[in-house]
Amino acid sequence: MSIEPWVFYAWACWIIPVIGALLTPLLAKLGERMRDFSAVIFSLLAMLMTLSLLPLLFGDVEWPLRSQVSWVLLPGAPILSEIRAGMLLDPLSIIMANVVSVISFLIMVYSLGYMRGDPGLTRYWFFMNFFIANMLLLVLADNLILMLIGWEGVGLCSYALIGYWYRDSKEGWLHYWVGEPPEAYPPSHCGMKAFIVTRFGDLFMIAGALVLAATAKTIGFPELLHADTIVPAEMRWLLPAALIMILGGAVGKSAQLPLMEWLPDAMAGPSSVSALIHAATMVKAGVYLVARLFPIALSWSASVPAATSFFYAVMWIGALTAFIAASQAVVSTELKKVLAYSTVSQIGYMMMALGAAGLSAEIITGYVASIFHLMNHAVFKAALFLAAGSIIHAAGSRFLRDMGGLRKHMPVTFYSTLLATLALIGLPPFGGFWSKDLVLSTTLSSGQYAIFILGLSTAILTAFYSIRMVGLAFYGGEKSKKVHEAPRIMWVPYLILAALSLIIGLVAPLLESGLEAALSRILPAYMHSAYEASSMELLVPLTSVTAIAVGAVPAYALYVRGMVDLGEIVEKHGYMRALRTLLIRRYYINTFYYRAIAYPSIKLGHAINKVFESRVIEGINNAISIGARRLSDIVRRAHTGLLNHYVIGLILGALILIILILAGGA
Amino acid sequence: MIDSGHLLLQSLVAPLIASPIAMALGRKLGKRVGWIALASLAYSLSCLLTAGYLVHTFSSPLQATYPWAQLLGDIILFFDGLSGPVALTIAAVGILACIYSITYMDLRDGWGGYFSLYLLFNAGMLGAALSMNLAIFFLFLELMLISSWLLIAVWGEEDRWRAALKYFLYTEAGALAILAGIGLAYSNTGTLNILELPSKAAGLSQATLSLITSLMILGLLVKMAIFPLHSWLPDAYVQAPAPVTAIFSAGTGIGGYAALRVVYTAFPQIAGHGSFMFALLILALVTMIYGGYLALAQNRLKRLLAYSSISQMGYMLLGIASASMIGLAGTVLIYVAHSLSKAALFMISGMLSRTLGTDNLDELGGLAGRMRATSIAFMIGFLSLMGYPPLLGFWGELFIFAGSIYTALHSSIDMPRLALTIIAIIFSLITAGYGLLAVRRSLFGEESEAVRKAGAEPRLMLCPTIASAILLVILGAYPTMLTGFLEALAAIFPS
Repeated sequence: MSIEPWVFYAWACWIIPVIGALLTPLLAKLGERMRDFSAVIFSLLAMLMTLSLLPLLFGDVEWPLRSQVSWVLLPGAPILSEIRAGMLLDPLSIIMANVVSVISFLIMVYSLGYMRGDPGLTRYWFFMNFFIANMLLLVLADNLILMLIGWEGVGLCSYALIGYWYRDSKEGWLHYWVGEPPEAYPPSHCGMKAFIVTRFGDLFMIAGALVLAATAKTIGFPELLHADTIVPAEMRWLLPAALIMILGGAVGKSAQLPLMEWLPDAMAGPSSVSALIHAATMVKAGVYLVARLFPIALSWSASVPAATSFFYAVMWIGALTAFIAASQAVVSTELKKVLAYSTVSQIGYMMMALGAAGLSAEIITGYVASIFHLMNHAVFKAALFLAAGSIIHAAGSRFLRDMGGLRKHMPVTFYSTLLATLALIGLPPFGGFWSKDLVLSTTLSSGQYAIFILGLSTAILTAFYSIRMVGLAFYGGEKSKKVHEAPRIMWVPYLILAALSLIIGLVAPLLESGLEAALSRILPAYMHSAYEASSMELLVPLTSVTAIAVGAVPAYALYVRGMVDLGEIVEKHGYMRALRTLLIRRYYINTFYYRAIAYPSIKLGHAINKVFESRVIEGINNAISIGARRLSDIVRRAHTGLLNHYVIGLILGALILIILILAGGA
Repeated sequence: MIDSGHLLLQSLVAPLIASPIAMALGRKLGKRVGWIALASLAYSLSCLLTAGYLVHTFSSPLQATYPWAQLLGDIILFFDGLSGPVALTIAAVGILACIYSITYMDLRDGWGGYFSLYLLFNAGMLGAALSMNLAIFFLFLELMLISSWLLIAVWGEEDRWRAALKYFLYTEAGALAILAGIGLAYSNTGTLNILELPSKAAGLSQATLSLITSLMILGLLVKMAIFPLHSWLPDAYVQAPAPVTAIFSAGTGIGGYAALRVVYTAFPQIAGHGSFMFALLILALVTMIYGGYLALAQNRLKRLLAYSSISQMGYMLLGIASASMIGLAGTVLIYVAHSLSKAALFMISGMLSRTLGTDNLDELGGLAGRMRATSIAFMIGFLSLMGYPPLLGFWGELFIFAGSIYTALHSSIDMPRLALTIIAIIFSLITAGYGLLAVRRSLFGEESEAVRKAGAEPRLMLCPTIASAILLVILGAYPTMLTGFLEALAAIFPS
């Protein structure tokens, strides 16, 4: 029996970067260049492995392909008696794996220039390769537990890389910290915050997975598809409940409401890390998970009507997050934070599309919309973050107010940023236009008009903050002298990505139908519905282009042309000042978490320590010991020193013992 | 399968014989006497590994019976998928902390006495894990208690006498409760053999059964330091010398292992007693959360770890309260994972006290740049505690929670249990909270005054620390090494 090539590629594409990560400390002994280049080569190999999976999409394949090995055995257990490590290949996982590996590779190349000379590079390469491995494992895993391993693995890498500059140096706060006082945080704080907040979501995911394991008796994705039939009717409501709990993991990882607060602060990490982990790949894991669960929820909704609540939850969380995050991007004073809010907002778009797709007759359109938007976003947002790395490096500050006029000095960076920004805005014919168009038409076709309005408002805000960002960074007066263009090894990757965002747009109709053909194969047959050209076909692109104009034109006038000073107008009106403060203070959600949860928890610990542990418990201890001393004072009187008394005592004791034994034996 | 090579007996006798030798040669050999102790523990580990290999090959437990007092029955040593991992963990952690002790003790004297008692402590733990005769089990428990009490009282930190006394009185009171339970069990069934008890105890009235198990469990809860019987633990852990604290977690966990045996091997009827198990579940939940919050409030690393141990004992108890095979498997895994990670972490805390002169988190900071290997072991220890994959602690927690959820859902929906289990899962975030806070305060930030002046870690202290971290990774990557032997548990639960 010969192993088919896809089995090899599927396993190799995550095992290779694991090996790469583990070898990093050893290769570091051979010299720094050796270490740096081999790290990049391992990510290249991983990319080649995932690319080798692509031809499967065009072949006649019976999806899904699975390759499993036995892993954790618990013989005789009623559930989880065997947890297998399995690779699941279907169009969704193959597409996602390729998005991850291609962008990873480009970012690894960029890192060669961007991180050059940093003293902790062994750690950097280790965690970057370890991240790629875990991300691909997460994508290819065929069951919830294995996915969880990759899921937590990427979380660990995110934690370690956000806090990469762990010294938290106060002098370098312009560069290494994130946020403005009173919400300025050092890197190691941000890493911890990201870990705790996402872990909170993950714990719900674990609980949900275990509820599924206990009711549906399986954790494998393909098996879960028809699990509803084996669950007794009175317990079926647990299935959607479990899905909603699992959604908690997605909400945490993808920084959706109400767990979005960690991502803006994750910008304390190096820009390459922000690009890879906190824009292009890891934060999409939540979308990917929802897309994975999508057919399952849809299939269950036939016998468990409550399963549609999953879609409602996904849709509303996504739409609200999209709008709220976009509004925060409008006032953000830091370049990377604008991008971070924008990422949160765009992921909300993807979630919104998935949720609406589940409620719409044109299921496949929404599903494609979400995945297509995910691809587009990965490309243009990675480009934006990589370019931002160059800009921050050149300006010597992460604040937009310290930038300005960089257009002439950094032409490649400027044009790359511009291209990627236009894609983000969704201007035709960029990739973002097509996917956004699909997202919005899904919300309409599912009849969710409120969601459509939210989506459209988000589009207006997106156009506004994007142009504002470009205007503040590249136009206006020059703030610093002696600015140079970034080295070639840095700009080539983001130029490629920026160009890609345009190319994707040019071939979008082709790509769309290709995605539709591929992804429709993983949705169960009865879910297909004929795609009918709706009468609103033209309405959506027209409104979305209008929305762009509504947002972009004022931003152009204000920030590129500098026609009016918005700051002065805001200062004049109390309500505008209040609005700005509300947005800058992140709707006080962040404050709420610190004031209502984080600090009180530590205070509670201290309070329990001071009051209960030291007073009550120790008090009881002392009372007992004092009581014992009193008792001993009384008993001491029996110690008469007379032998006769002792002998009598001894005999009495023995008698009692004998009686006890006899009584017990009877 | 009969243990014809007396492997189990040898593993117990080796440290028992070496103990007086160490005492006698202490004067002459100085701290080198530690190598004798190490040799005997290594011998006992190799016996246990061989036993494990036999159990694996023949897939049946290993049992050895030796005649003893007529009245109290035979000495029975038993090595199965349950006692095996526990005994192996004790031996492994014992060896690592013994290596660590050799350097640790070079600033103190009384090597002979220290290593002699150290061996007795290990032998006591091993004996308690392997014995299936309740009387013998009790004797080993007392051996453990007395030897560790002396280790704290003589070689401990400043406040050692008070802590040692408190430890002694608390756990002795617990031991008396256990003894009372054992006595009642014997007088009612006529046997002390745990393996025989299920059949002999079948006819007992519910009241007698409840009384026996309640007394024994009560005593074991003291041993485990379950809230509100925990207050001996923080003082004893903090005051004990670092290597003793490092193996203390394995010793404290014995209480959990024994509770598992009492409930599921000796008196399986009680496992079906819903309200009894529910009471244990509540105690477990409270202990998990209580220990976690207190760990959050500590400034001294060693004390933080001590409260974390209380919290982890709550997890073990949750597995015992799960009344399902998966939960019990999780309990065994948590025992191993917790013993290993606490061994690493307590050894690190001792190492910091020695090289920096403090393990107070306020005075640490920026260690990551200076002590790389230690920092990695530190991270791994805490990540395993918080149940992070693919470390062993992840599997322990996963199975514990899975077991409890399974029990809540397997025939009908047991809403209170389901809700409490989910609360337990969510509140395990506290472990991440205190763990990461400790990591941040010690490893990250600017280098503190103490850190800047620090020398390198002594190699013999660093190696065992790293070894425990590596074990956590290896066992976590392939936990079947442990779970594959737990089939015996399935027999307890007829499906």
